[in-house]
Amino acid sequence: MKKFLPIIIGIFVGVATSGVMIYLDKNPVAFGEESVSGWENYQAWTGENLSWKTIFSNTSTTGKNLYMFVESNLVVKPEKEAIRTVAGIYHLTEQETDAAIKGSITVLFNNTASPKHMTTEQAYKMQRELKADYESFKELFDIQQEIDTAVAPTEMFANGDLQDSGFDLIYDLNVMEKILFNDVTDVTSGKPLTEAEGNMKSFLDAMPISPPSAQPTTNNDKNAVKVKETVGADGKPAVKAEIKIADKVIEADVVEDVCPVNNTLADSLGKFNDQNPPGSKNNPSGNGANNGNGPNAGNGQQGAGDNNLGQNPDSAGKAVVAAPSSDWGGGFCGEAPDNPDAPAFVSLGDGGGAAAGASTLGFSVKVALCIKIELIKETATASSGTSCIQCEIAKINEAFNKTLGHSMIPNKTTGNIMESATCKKSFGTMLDLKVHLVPNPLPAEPADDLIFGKNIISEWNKFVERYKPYGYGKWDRDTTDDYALTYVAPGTSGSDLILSIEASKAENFAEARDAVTAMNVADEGTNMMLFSTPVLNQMREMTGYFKAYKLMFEDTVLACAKIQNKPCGQ
Amino acid sequence: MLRFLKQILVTLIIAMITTVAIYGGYTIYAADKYAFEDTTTSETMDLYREEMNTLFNDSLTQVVAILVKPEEGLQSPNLLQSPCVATDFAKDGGKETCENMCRDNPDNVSTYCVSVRAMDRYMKYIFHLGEIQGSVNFESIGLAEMRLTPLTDAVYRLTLARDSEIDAEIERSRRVLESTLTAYNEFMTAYPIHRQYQEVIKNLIKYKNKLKNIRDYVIQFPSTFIDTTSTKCS
Repeated sequence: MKKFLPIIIGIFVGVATSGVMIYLDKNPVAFGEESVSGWENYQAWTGENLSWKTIFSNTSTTGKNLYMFVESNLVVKPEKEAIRTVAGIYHLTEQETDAAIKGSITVLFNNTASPKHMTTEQAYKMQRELKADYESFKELFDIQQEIDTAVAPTEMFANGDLQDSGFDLIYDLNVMEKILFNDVTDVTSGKPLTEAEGNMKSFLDAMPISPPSAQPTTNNDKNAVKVKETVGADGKPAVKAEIKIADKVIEADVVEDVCPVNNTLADSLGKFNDQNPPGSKNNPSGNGANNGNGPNAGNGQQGAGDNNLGQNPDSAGKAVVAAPSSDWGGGFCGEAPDNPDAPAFVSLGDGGGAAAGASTLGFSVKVALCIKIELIKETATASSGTSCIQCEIAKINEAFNKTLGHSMIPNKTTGNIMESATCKKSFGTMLDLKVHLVPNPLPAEPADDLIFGKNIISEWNKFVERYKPYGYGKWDRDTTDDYALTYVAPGTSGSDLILSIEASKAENFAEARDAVTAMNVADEGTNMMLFSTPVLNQMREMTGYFKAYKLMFEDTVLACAKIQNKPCGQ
Repeated sequence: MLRFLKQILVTLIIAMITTVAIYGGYTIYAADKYAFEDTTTSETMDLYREEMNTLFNDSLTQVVAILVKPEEGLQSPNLLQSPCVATDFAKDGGKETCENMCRDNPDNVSTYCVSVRAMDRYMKYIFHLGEIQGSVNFESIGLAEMRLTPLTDAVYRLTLARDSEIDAEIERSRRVLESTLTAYNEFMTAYPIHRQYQEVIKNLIKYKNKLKNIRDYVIQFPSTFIDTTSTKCS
């Protein structure tokens, strides 16, 4: 026995070691590195934190948690919304509702909102109703999320918007267009409402000033700002601002409301009317433009003069004066004037501005000029400056036209002896500079059919699937039946035979469906390859040409320098 | 002393042989199983989702890594393309051959190969769910069900509900897989083109700058050559 002791000990040690190794090898995720596990963490991931933007916008984590997000969109979000809705109807918590949907009636018995002395049958009836309601709501939310999941990935990489995906092919093409032609064709398909348009709308909505036709302006308005709606060169509505400073009038496009109006003059006047109805002490006439519906500034100012400042002895003669320049750095911008808790002046941060204020009985006004200061570092990007490839070529052509349109012969040189120096026709062509432009188009692969065509195999599959030529499908069924009926084993009953045929058909059907599915998936991959490979090859070729041209231009620059520095007569 | 050392040596050798035999057998026959194949219903579903998420995370990370390094990515586009074309699938046993090519080359992250790996997981998943469906559901029995008579009635209802949930899970996990593969395929089409566009843009900018240098010289030509009169000429 002692002789076998080392062997026995060795076997035990080996078993123990391999057991530990197998245990350690049992990673919750078979081939991955994720350490997060459990439904709670999964829900935490997929809750409201993920979106197409967060998945694809970060270069270092591009595509991370794509599956979780799709699962969340298709399964979790509709379920959560439906459970939340049903839980509200049946006065249950979301966990209880979830359990009830899965068949539990315990939660219904425990529910205080359930009828007292509820029988088991009643509980099951309620559970069925609850589940039916859940299915109904879930179907609605399912449709909503399915549309998003189906549509978003097909267009988010090519809709001209970087916000939803981190990169965009239309944007890339726009950059190229800018470099080539210094102009960008507006992309309308798949593009959301632009920020500029959104700002313009909100600006117009908040605008307390009406078009200039309703604005009485006098010569006394030394400094004034007028805003008017016009039609731009492209036929679209535009807003122009006329800024009058002393005798100078500056016209500018209103692009963005840098000083958001939280509480407009119109609101103040409207409140004044509400608090002081027409005929009251502070508002005896009751007319004017302060009707609370956004009157224009001119009327508002006029109205203020007529109704308040002019009639109110306390306010008469108080002019709106500019704040001292020492306050400019800390002017207010968009702060609600009627907010008693707000400080009189709010720092503008990086910006600056000037503010003025006046206060009378029941009426106060603050006026601010906000200056937004941004430090813009010019970088060597495609959009910097107005230079473009077409522009450069046009300028080069223009310079050559000027150069070649004149004689190269010096003024004082004559053509023949004793002739005037102005006559050079006899040898005008002997000394000249000629530039030859040789057009050289980029050759492209004749593979357009591969780019735009379709995979013939997949098309054939679709054709066969759709039209079933030559009795496709029927033939297979007959063969199965014939085989089973012909080679029937002795003692087999009729029902066994039918079951056997049905099982065989089901098996064949499942196998065929699996094969078709796999084929479709393979075709998808093949189509993608057929599409992208020629495009990528052509772009690589084009890049190669640009590199070659770049080298040629470098040589040309050297030649130009030599020509220019060449001494006369040599 | 020598005898004692000899016994220790024998023990170690036996221990090593046993370990290699057991662990080797495990890695050959058992380690191919995914974690979700050994669990109950809810755990299976959670682990399957994590498994699939990891698969797509790893694949997309690799796609980006290949494309961000042009010297590796664009020179080795085969890792981003399916190893087979349509004619390969049409051959006898072509489908299995192509699938095995993807399984043998885990670095290939083409949509096809990723779909093959995802399908492997999905098929094992629904197979395991099918196994669970064949069993009685004791997981969901609560206190209320325990009080019911007969208990078998409650167990039957719970089993039916669980099986119905599994049927729904099989269908929705298929939809999720399809949608994720669609998104992956779109990314695989768009992202390489985007990288190539970036390369074109970079060269276009250089091209434009070189043209600008030429223009800087050429624009001086009219004043240099037209009606040339120079005091330097003799």
